[in-house]
Amino acid sequence: MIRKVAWRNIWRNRTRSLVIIASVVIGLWAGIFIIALSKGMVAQRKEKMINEQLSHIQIHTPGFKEKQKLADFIPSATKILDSLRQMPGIRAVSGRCIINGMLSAPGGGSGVQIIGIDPDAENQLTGLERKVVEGSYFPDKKNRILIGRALAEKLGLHIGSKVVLTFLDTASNILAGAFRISGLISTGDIRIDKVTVYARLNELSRILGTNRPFIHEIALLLENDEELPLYRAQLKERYPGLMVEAWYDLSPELRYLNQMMNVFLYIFMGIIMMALAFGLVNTMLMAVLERSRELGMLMAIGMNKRKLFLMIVSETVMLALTGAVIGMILAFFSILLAGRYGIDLSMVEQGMASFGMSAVLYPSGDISYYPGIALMVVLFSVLAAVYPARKALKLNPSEAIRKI
Amino acid sequence: MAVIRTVDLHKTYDENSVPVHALNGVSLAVNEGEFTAIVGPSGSGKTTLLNMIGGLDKPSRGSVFIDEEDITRYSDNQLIDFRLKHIGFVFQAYNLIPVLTAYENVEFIMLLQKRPKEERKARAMELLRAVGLEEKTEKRPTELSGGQQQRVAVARALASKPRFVLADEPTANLDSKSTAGLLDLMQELNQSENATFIFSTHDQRVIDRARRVLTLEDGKIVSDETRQKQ
Repeated sequence: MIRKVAWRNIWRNRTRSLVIIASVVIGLWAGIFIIALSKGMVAQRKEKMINEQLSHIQIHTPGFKEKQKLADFIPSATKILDSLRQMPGIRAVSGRCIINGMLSAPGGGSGVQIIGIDPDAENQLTGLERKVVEGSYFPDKKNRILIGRALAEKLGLHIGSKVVLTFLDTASNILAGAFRISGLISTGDIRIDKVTVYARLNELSRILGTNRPFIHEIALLLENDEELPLYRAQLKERYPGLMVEAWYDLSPELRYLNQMMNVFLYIFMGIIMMALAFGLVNTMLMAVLERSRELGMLMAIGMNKRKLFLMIVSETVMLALTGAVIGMILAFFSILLAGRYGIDLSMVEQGMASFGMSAVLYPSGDISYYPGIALMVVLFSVLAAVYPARKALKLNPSEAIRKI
Repeated sequence: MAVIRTVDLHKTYDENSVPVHALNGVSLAVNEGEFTAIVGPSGSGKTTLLNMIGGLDKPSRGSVFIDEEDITRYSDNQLIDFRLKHIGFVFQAYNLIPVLTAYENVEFIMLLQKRPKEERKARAMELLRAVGLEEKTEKRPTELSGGQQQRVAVARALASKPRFVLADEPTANLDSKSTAGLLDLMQELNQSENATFIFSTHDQRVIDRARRVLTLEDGKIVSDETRQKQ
């Protein structure tokens, strides 16, 4: 009966209740939507980083990542690559030669990272061909390279422009090779696009004067990312002299970004709920003051303080939960819709790209945190009910009954 | 033996730092089953006396004994429990719960007493029939006339099977016809339920029906008249 009375009391002043319910709906919907958008951004970034940059696992020689020395190549890399290609559960594998050098053009020069690749294997692994925004992906012509669009813009280069790549060999001799730009790429990360040059692995080997490819990095993608820890352990055991690292070893911040988002979610919702709680306190205080005669009567006929407190708390919780449920349903469907079609922010594409973000955002449809939010709503509304309920409990029934 | 006994009751209110003596040494005894009216001009202390007897307020001095137990020593929670078990209130302004129907208003007090559902239903229907509102059980207070609302209030007051019904000017807002009907009803219930009725009133129609009339003036009993049963 207390619940029934509390529920009906909410609708006594319909406008006032609807206003506070609307504020809870808007607050929760906006909060959840922004969180879903942030979680979606994090998930997109993670997917993008794994599928286009980090891969699931990378193999290097110990020390290569720190100094990036040409001499720190993986011995027997070709054998390892062949062996990995035979391994079940591995979707794609690619070996890369990574050299820091200089790109010189008539318009100037720039320090670059030259990545020697097998175009087919790399395309399978990272979908590099899809990132070509102008020109073509390694046509059947010799000495062709891909460079980042941002780098091309910086140096005033175009498709077909001739450039010279220079770098040091293992004995610190300067080596150089002339190349023509066959394509411009845009990875979505402007920081990468400003420094990256892709060349054929065998052409770099030829400049280095060897038939044996200098492979510094082997990257692979798995069929099933849940098996990553298993493959990581297996490969570590198989290649004890090499560094076998999963994406989360290579980019720990990416791993913790998701956990950080969860903490951020509750802080953010806490702030929203705190603001809404003040609205609830105000509404319930008005309700208690308006109904003091009725509350006095309830005490007079024998409703004890515990039940009276419970009635006011129930009323506040129901008021907030009504808004919360509507807000969550609204958020669920709007996120579903935005998740399907995406939110196009191409107006600020360059800004987004500078953070390594795609211009189309897809909010995360994860609803696992909804019960946590509902619990927060209950908690905050109980807290919001305490002050008005205490006011009610302090009423003197004989005085309250006479109030008009 | 008296079931209600007050001894030298005093109540002083502080209004704008001026002490107002609402009760000035009221001593009385009420026997079980009495139908008593407390009369007197406005401000004579009628409502204050009812509040003291009903445990809604505490005296500045003196005692209220119910079955020889001093309820002025009770804590707030004990008083609430005492009211729930022993007192039925009828207020001048009806004071029904506006969001509940007539039936639910009568049932409410029995819910507070944790009575079983079947018993609640039977008692609520019995009382609503007794007050002539069996056709209005699903109506909310705003859909009822003043007289009908006060009948629901009487049914509610009796729902808990109280030993005492305290009615504070119950007919003040009613027309003649409703007043007569309500008084008939309360007299009937006084006899059938053997509940002790105490009214505060200055309505002559109520005074005429009372078997005992206590007159208060300036917080003191100035007369105590008992009439023969009609």
